[in-house]
Amino acid sequence: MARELENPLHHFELHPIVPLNLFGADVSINKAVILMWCVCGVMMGLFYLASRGQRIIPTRIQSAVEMAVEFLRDMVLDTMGEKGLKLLPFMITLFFFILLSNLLGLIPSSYTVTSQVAVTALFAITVYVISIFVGLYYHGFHYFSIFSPPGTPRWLVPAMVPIEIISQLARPFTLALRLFINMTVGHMMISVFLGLAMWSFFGLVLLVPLSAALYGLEVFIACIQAYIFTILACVYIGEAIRLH
Amino acid sequence: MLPFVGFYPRDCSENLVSSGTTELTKGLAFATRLGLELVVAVVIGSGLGYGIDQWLGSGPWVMIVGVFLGGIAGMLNVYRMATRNGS
Repeated sequence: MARELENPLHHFELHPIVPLNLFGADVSINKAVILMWCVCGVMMGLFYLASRGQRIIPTRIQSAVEMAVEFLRDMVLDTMGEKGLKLLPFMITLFFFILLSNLLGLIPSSYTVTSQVAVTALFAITVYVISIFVGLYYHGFHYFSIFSPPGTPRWLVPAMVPIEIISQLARPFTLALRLFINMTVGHMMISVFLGLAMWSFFGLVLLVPLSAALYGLEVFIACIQAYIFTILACVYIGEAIRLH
Repeated sequence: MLPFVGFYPRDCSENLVSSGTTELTKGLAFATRLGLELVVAVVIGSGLGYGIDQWLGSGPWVMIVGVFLGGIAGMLNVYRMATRNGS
């Protein structure tokens, strides 16, 4: 804890717990891997409890999960239409994985999986690749007409194609960076405030309540970020389904 | 395992999440996206330009064009977001 207060980035350092090497690649088991297993376990447990013995008058947990699923289903229908329902299980998994990763990371001494850019980048690239495959599935090679939006004057096409390529490439980058930055900065701010609070009595009086308030804000941000990532994934795939 | 997923008839269930909360969440989601959309497009444009410059040995010229194209792409993304959010 003292080291964490001295160095706000200490929380994000990863050290191998079980060193492993697969064909020259480092696949060591570290805190992040264990936390991801925990997230998977909690998620499966939650859905098992929610779907076990479904009742007409639902239990609290069944009601909460049904409400979240209903919310995500409406989101998918609004952004992707009926065709998007095929991807609803993926969106539910994505939302709950990010939400639980963010929330479990708020437990003191645990680890925020989504504060690793490798994890968020993998999610973002997966979503982007799915959107390309969905576009190609529904529209064939006509999908590549996204690089020249309808109504573009012919003389403007040479300028629009590079602009659209940059605009498309920005999508996975913004998806990955937004989640990574929000989760990292929130945790860092709490560490910095608590570190500063140790310097004086006034700091202790002022900054500890502020850190507690920030912690509450972090819980809110954890939920908002999971929502933003999922809705943007829906919007990008929805655009690939509708094309323009 | 999850028999309720994806099989709700839309009209049979009430919308349990209030519209006020949804609007607030949508607004916050929109606000947190704006800045990053602008910056990332400029970074990608200049990065691509720099890569092409390194490949062709063409000095800083493609990178300069890339910065401008990235800026336009970023503004275009924000404009599209705003029109989509407004509709």
